[in-house]
Amino acid sequence: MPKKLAFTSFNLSNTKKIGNMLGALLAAGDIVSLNGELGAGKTTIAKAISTGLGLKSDHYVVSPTFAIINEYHADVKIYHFDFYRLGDPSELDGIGAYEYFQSDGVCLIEWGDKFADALPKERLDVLLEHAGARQRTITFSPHGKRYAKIVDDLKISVENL
Amino acid sequence: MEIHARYGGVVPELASRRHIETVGFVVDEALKAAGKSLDDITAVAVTKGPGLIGSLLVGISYAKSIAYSKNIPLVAVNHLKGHIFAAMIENDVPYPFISLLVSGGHTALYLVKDHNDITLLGATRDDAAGEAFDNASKIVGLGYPGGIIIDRLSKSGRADFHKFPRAMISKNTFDFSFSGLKTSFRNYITGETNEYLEKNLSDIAASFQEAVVDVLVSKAFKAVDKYNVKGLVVSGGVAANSRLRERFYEAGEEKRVNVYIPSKALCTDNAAMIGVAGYLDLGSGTTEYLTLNALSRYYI
Repeated sequence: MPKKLAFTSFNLSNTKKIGNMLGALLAAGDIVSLNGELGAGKTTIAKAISTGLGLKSDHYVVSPTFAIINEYHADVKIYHFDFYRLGDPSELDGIGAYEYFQSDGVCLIEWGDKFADALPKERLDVLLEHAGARQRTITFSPHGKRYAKIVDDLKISVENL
Repeated sequence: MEIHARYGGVVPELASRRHIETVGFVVDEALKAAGKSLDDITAVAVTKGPGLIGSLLVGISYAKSIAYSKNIPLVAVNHLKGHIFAAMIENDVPYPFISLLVSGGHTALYLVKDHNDITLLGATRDDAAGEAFDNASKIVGLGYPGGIIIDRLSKSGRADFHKFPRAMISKNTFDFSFSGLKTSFRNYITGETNEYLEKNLSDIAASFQEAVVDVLVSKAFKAVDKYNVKGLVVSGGVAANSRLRERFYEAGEEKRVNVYIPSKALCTDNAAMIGVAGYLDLGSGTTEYLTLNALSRYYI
């Protein structure tokens, strides 16, 4: 199991910078599961990752809770999921999740840990935890070589922050 | 509704399967209630998007088959336009007007000069207003649908019990943000004892609801002022909220603006609004049935 990486983000702009850096390291076909309780900052970091992927600021990345899937078109396609309202992994097939996982876009999946077994084995898990009103602990857990490399590169970027 | 409530929302896979099972009965029932048969129908309006592809495709396939078999035009309708023009069902709303669309998935302000001349003025940058209600209800352990629960609870509560943040209310933009309110609400709830929360639940609900409604009222009337229109349409599921309706009607009277809010059944998702939006846009109807496809991502 490759090494986990944990940062403490002291405020919103810190979290956004870390998200931007992660986005810059991602490419088409990548899968990122964004986990953490209500208000932890999953949509916030998804937004920052999308910016890092080159999505222009006039595209508003909004919460996909209601829609289940929002699509954004940057240089790569971004598929922003939310499993929050799904009750059972069998519903993933119905929303076309497996086709999205195999597609030419980057999948950002809020509440992905609800159905971790149904996610592709190779992926990046990101856990956001409250550590005060504004402060968050952000833990990156890579699954597979590609994601271990991404986390290594992210470590260098964040240390130079 | 029962099937949705059990799962805390519209469960998509289940929903699209249910759509297949029920679309035929629903159309038959509607025709029966209207005293019409399919032979009386001169055009078919159908939702093209935005939404989940699976559910959209069920409606589109069914609409295509009716239009094809009767050789009548098919009109593709944007779901969001449906919400805006839901107000035309009960009222003749003169153009131009400002439209505030508030639902579980959308919160947006539009300047509507004509049925085909709509400008987006601002939208939420994170959570929609309806989602804010659902989240708040979830945080205090009250479940789904949050909007109705908070609305009911608030009726016996004091709206000035606690001051939650009014996000982006004073900034010079027509965009909205409800994510900060969610976090602030969560922090407030986790900082209090269960006993305190139980005792003051309706006051807390009313205070939360007021924060959401304040922002909506303030932004919508700011748009009315700026574009110097006489009418304001408020629609979408959240427009069924009783405090919201009360506040918009009050403010409309005070500022001499005609406020149009569809009756509650026409605020939540419904087919009548797609019908009226399709009727207004009948000219775009096509008999090239095969060209129409669903769009998950479809903005005005």
